[in-house]
Amino acid sequence: MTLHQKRFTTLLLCLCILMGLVACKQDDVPETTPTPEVPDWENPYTDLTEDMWVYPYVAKLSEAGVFTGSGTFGPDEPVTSAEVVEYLKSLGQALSVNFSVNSGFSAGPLTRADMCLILSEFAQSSKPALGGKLTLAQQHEPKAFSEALYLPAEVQNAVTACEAAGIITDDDGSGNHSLQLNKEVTRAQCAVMLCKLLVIGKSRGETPVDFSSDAYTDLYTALLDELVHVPECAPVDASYFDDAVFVGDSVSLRLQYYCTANGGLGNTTFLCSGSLSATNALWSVGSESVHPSYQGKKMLIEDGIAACGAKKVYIMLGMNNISFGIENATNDMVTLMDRIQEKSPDVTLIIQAVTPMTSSSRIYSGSLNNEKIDEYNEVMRQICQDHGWYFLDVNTQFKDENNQLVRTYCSDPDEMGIHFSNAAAEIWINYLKTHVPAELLNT
Amino acid sequence: MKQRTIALILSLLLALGLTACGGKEEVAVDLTDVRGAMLEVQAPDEPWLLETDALKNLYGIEADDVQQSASYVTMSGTFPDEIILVQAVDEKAAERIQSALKARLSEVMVQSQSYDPDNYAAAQKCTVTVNGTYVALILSPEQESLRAVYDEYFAG
Repeated sequence: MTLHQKRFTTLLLCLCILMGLVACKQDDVPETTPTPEVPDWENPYTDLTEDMWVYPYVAKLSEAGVFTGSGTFGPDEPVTSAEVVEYLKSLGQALSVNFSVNSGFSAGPLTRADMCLILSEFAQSSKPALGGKLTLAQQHEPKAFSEALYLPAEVQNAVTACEAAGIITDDDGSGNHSLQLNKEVTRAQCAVMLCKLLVIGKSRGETPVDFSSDAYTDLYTALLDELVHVPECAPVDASYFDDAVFVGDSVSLRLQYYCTANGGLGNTTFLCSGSLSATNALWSVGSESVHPSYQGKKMLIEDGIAACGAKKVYIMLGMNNISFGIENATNDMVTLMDRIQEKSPDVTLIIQAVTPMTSSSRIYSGSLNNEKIDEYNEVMRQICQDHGWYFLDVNTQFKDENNQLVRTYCSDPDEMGIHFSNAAAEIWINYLKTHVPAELLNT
Repeated sequence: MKQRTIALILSLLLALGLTACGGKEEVAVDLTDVRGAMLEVQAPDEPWLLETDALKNLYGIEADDVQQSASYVTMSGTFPDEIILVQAVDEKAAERIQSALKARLSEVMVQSQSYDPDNYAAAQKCTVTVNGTYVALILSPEQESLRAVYDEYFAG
């Protein structure tokens, strides 16, 4: 090998190692964005080293005069609103804008939602100083986030604006999409957000992000409506249901056996049992209780869901307790949902409307009939909208013109009049596959 | 001397008897054939066949415990008819499977008691049977005729 060849090989190896290091660093960055180039900079911090993912961001902001400290940086320490305001003053100078932030944040640590609000106020109030007004180019179309659905309107708008500008992201690279709005902002995360603001603020995109306080209200109104009127979508593959669990009574029991035999809903889990209701599901498990079993062990619904590790929970309950009063039945559903969320806080809850009965059903009565079922469904729809749970109108698929269960969809030979045939199970499966909440489509 | 001879003869007879018992081999039965014969007798409209991989989630039966299985479910009534036929890998595994199916039977009794008298009556009559390593749950209002089909395979 000639000297020239040796030098070339060494250079190639160095490049490979360098690329590997850069790749490793980016994997750890919680906000997916191109890592800024590290400027010539003398690191004054004893707890910050070049191998830390936040290093280039701190270097960049230090070069811009935003970070001026020394000693310890405290990358994992929570940042306060007072500190952020100080950082923004310097950032404003770097971007040649004046601004005012009047949110009256407490002196304590900031959440990521608070941070969005502060940055949004900064962007909105910025006035031309030495240069032009601050404009932040839109990185992608603004969208509403279910995590922000029940936050004040100004926070919703701030979150959407910051996300559209690329200042925050719901993609941490782990595959779990979450803005983590309630989490405290660490100084390292603050550095990333401010650095993005600095970089994006200096660029001039064609479509500026609208930071006004009511810019995206319509998006959130539409999202709220979508919760309880899930629109039709292209059919998902059965594997979409691999991380789902179906909770139900004997109506769902049919779906369970049908799907277990033919794989219609992938490898979904079922927690179904005859006579189950949201009322008796709250009782203790015992030899006389009707709780469903998971892998042969009878357990509470919330424990079964936690045990199977499902991410999506489809529930249809009501047929066995509507007759005891709609208020009681719906209150018990809320309690059950709360218990499920307490045990499995990351699950998405999807309540399925209770399906209709035939008019000749032998259990048809003044307290259990299709009008009562409809009334129950409408109360549950409103509850879902208030709590951020999805509501699926599966019942509409099985009604005839008289609001009864289509007779040919019923398999009961004894005029029970509520259970489904295979044909109805197929329709049910098809509806589930074509009515997936938009936020779950890409998970 | 006479007593010794009698004792010897009795010991021989006992030993022969024990040998005969120990030597009785388990009848080898193809459970898929049994299921087919049962389906011919019951002739349900919409039988759903269940194989070994479905038994874990439904009944808590581990696939490692199963030598062979052939099961089916029909939904002709409010509650399913559940025909679960399993051969375990050994007698210990057969005990575990029997226990799992007994638990299922108890569940059906509790769940059907309030509003499905036919299924409740069927569940009350039903027992989980064990023939060597073969375990069966035949839960159906037609269980007597189905049981007769099953037993016929083990009669030989």
